[in-house]
Amino acid sequence: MKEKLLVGIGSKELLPESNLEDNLRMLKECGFESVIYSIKENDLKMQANRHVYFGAFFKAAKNAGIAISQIHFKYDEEIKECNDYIESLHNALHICNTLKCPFLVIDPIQLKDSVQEKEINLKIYRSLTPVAKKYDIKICLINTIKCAGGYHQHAIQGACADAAEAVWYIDTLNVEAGEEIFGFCLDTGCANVTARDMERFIITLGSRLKCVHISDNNGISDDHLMPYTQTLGQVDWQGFIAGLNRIGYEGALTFDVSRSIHTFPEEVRPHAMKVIAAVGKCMRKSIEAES
Amino acid sequence: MVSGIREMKRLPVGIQTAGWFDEKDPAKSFRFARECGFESVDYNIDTIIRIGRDEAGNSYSFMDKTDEDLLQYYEPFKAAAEVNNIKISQIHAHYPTYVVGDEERNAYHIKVMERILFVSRFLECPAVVIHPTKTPDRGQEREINLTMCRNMIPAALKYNVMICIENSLKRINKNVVQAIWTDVEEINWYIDTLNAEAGKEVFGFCLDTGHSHIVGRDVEMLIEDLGSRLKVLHIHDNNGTEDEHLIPYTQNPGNKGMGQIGWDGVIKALRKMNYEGALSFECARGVKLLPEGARREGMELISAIGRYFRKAIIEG
Repeated sequence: MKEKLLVGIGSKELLPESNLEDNLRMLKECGFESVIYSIKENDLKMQANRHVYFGAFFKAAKNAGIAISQIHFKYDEEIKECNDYIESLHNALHICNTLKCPFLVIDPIQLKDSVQEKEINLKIYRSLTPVAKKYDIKICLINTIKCAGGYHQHAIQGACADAAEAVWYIDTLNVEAGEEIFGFCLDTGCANVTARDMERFIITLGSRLKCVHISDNNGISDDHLMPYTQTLGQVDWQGFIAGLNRIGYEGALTFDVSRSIHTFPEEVRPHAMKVIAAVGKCMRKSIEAES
Repeated sequence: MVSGIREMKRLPVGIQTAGWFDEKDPAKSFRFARECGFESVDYNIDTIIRIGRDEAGNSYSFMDKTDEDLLQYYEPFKAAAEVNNIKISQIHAHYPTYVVGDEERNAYHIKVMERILFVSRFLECPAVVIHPTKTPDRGQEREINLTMCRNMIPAALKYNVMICIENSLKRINKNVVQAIWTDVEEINWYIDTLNAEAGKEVFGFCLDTGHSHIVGRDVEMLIEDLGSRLKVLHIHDNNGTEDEHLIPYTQNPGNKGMGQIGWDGVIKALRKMNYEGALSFECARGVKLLPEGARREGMELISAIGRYFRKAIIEG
């Protein structure tokens, strides 16, 4: 039986390649049950023998008893050539298959022209449908922010920041695919800095919500902080939990807080991670209790 | 030196009792503190004193108990602390300790302080922390605070317990601004003046890191300028705009105009000044923000930060 609501954490920044298995065990000891594996476009280019490399990661995670709940693919800076980018995403799907990971999270591209943005995003996501079908992998779009510029670099809504827009993308792509290939990953930090109503956002997405990236902030900058550490502007965690309960969410509860962890002195970090895992278990208990 | 600070283990890692300590079950509470990794506590006696006034207008509080009754109350408390190898590094007195124009209440405050110092002696606690009295008139403010402190000298000498004055804040138009005992020249003047009058080192300083940060003071420089007057600490963090009492390192250090305290500088200065007192955290709010099921881990995180501080202070 598939385990529900596995508590997880972003792995890439926390796990130097040396002693991978020991580090994964450390995450397990801290209370985590799953990890997100983040890949950037350049990582793929640099990793010549990637099947061997990611095969080793899969084995180490399996030995440590840690599930790989999702892969998060991020483009590096500016996409110069759309076809090259699509090729990178295909490679990410292959890696997903190697890691036996059910979800690939892909940030939508952001353009100033919203019509063009939609066209290009649809083209990119559509191109992935056959391979995703073949491997039985779900592709998740994610809500984003962009910078309004100026001295304070104020964060404003990016692609898929609105639940209705996200629903439109997912439903359009799934109808075209003829089956449920596309879903959504909610980034709580991005939703908070763009002042979204967390509970309503989740309910609008409904069963389309497959993964979550959990982090907190002060409502102004996307700081990727530990939940429940802010007194001003923190994420509406009560609404988050109520929303997940209402839609019967069963995916992983994954914390995307690497920046916060790196703020702590190195020897204190495992203790910070134990707090995060404990928060995840509290969230799971509350989501299940409300059912 | 009046107190027994130097008799304690160097740099014990401590936590305030407010927010988690069950006064009715000290055995369980001290065991919990030890299990979380703490070696000392800052006893928030202020949370149980509860000063009121009866129908005749006379003040009353928990501290009206006789010596025997107080000792009876604190015997299990002391025993539980000893069993768990926890020191009472400091006691937080009630506040305010002075009310302008209310001499009946002020005489009572001094009586309560005498009782707190009596309890401190019994608990082998070397320091009691007090807040200042704030008034708009700086001349009056100085006189009031000097009088208030002077009135505490006899009991401090009698019980051989140090009184530590703490840096504070006030609000103007809802903004947090500096208050008395914010700047080091003023702090040092008070401590040196009062100690000269007492003829002994009766007064020291309690540095509240959060209060300094929020009024834009360089905490590292402040520690260096305080020198050996610094006896105890209230360690906590904030985002630079509100006195949040958060766990260190939980804010984003990169936020413009906000950010967290420069902990590396604090460590460096404590090392340079050969600070030996408790590393006592005043992060009750930071722990309480967490869901109940994660608060133990929150406490363990604080003690781990304390041990890191100690190691960095001792080893550099």
